[in-house]
Amino acid sequence: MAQGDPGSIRVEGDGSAPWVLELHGEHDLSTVGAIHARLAPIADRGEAAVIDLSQVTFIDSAVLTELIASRRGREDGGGARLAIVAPPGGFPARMLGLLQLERVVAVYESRDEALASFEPAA
Amino acid sequence: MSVPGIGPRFRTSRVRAIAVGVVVLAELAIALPFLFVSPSTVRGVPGPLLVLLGVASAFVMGPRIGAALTAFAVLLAVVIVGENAYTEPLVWIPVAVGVGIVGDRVRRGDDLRRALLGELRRGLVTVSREPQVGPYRIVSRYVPAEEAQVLAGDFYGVILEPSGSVAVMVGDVAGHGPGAAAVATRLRASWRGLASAGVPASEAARVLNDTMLAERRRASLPMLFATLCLASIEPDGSKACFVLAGHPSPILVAGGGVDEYVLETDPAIGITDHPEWTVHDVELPAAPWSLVFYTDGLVEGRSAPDGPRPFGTARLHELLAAAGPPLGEGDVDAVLAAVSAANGGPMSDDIVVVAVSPA
Repeated sequence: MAQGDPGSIRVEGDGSAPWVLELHGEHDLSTVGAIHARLAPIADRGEAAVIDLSQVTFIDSAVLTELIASRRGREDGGGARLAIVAPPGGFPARMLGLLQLERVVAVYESRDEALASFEPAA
Repeated sequence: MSVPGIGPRFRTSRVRAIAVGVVVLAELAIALPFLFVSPSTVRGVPGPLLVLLGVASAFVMGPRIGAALTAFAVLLAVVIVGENAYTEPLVWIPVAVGVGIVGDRVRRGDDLRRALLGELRRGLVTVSREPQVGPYRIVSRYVPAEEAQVLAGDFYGVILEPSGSVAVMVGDVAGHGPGAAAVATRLRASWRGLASAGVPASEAARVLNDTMLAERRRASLPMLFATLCLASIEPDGSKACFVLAGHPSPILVAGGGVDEYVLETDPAIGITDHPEWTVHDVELPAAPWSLVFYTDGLVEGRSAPDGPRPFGTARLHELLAAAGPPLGEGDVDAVLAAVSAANGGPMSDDIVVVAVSPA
């Protein structure tokens, strides 16, 4: 039996382009605090962020709530411009599909598509 | 459904008297040897130790008994050990009283917290676990998350509709903590009212969704959504209908195997306006059969101790198929034991399982 891969987060960006938060492994309530710590400042500044779930093997609704809660459209008018990357067939894509969260946040199959969504239309 | 508390509690005066006796004996045990040895060899140790013991007992036993025990400790330190530097009684007795008051406050706050947590958890499940509702036998389990201080938001209910059908509801508020639990109890109470009035499941889902969205907008609450499975099972056991809001489909255990209905789900409750909720009608086979409703905690644990998550529905199917219909108390407990054994450590999420079988 393969070892469970504890969740980790990698942040790329300096604010000039959309931030990229790349999540790895398993994410649940135990990593929500760490995700919040990275995402909250981005949301408070109203910046853009791509949440890449391609490397995620497990994610639960507590984490998805945290992601959705930080998106633009918060009742206080703040929030990050959010794009989620979840390749079809993966665990995160199945969870997003089950909850139908694509109704409230943009979900893309690849990181390139997600980044492209933030570029001004030509 | 006990909630861990802070510090010991003395339930009877006899237990309290024993605790006082233990502290007195401990103080004597520290002080008495100094009747026989020269105090100067260990100077600086027993005095503070005695005072510390008295003040610590004040935290546990309150200001009055604590002050008395501290006074006794100071007396022993002065008379027997002969230490004066640490034993100014006018200082330590008020300190013990203060510590005792703080201790009482902590305990009172802790009692309130435990009562609130217990009350919230009770609100999440059927108060009396009816073994039979209408013509159906119900086996239900609510297993709260085992990780300390986690208050998750799973909830369920089973009631008889005016038509004689049995309404089943299983839900899960995403996220944890008092906010999630409060939303869960409100949703459960609302569902109960709607179902007992005979409101169809699709209509009930719409009302619950609208209510949750309206409450969030009005109170500027943080994003919270809930998954729900609402079901209505006809009294003759021939048909059932389901409404799914981002929730796993129920599982039918019958004829030596299992069927997980492959049903399109509507969005979870509380995400977005959604006026039309799909009703999935299914035919049920001849008895015996069992319909199993559950929350994701049942399949999202580890697949093996230290192994990857999730446990998965495929293994749940195997367990249920092996048990076969109708599922009894022992069968459901065996499934829970297998899930818990595979997970290894404490479960991080609530689990709800409701198995419905013709009686």
